[in-house]
Amino acid sequence: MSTRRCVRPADTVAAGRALAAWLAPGDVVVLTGPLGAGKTVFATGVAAALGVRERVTSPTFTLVRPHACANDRGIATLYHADLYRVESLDEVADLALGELVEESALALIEWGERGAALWGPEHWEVRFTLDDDEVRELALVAPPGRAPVGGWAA
Amino acid sequence: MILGIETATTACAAGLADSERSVESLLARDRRHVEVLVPGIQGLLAAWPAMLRDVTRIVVDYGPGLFTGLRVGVATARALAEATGAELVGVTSLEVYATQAAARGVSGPVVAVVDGRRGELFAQRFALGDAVVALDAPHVVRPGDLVAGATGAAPVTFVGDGAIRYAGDLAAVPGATCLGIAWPSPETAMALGARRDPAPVHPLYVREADAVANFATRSRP
Repeated sequence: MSTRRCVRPADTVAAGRALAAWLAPGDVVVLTGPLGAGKTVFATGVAAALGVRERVTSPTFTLVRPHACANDRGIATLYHADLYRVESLDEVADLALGELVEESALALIEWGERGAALWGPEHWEVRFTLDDDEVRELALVAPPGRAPVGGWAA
Repeated sequence: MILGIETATTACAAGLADSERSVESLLARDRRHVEVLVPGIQGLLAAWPAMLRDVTRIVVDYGPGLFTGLRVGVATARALAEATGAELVGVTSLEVYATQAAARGVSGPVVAVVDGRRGELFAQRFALGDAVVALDAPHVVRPGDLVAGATGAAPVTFVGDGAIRYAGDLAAVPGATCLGIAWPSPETAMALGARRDPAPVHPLYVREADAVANFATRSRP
């Protein structure tokens, strides 16, 4: 696990872009951390790197929002999900995100730890922590055998 | 007559059976459950020939397996049972696979394995002899852990679609045989379900048991 410091929102966006470089179709990325820690800002960076043209906002009320992607990596759809408002695990299971990504897609799941056992061992996790000076530390946990080359710390 | 519905893998299949004969049909291999299931059932009935009202019992595979498939299969089975008054019976994908292994002459220890996606298997142990006897409950396991835990003296047979995807991993068990079967047979399911009492059916999503605890213990901010 390595961590990356983000001082400004632009740093968090850049972190999302950096992670996107290592992602492949079928990947599930779980984003964890308190409200306001920068999870949605991070998602905009991932989306930009994958060629999402539309605006990426928090899917808190829609639970999951599909975005069409334009890239040469075989990732056709980005599913951006937010489990903050989910009341029961049945709702998470019903989304079937772990299966949807098998069809040339990728899932970014805010508050994804709420469905932890559904994602299996093969997922990415980015843990956001926020200190009193609004500096964010992003810790990256890669799936087994997928440790990013080139490093994460910046 | 009995209607069998199978949606626990990326394949969708259905079958019909009465006391004299049975048929089954692969409707699609590639995740088109919602598109092919009901027309496929209509096609089977037309070919038999029979009407939907002739169906007195519906046997549905309720998992574990591909959740996006199972919810189509289970919802369709429940709706048809509600509409026609047919009895509804559930069988698990794992017991169907184990029974198929027995029908192919396998005996001794068997582990039925269904691809659980995300690097995991749904698994259940059986002893095959005069009968198919379950030795534990359906559970989630990583292929490596299943291999590490296989310590029995008798050679084990892995059966199911998981024995196709993870044949390489499972072959590490000394003496093990992999019997790959891409989808559970509706005819086998109907034979099992013919002898069972009707009961409400919900998709068996084995991971839920683990995940509920995790969800419940996490306080909301």
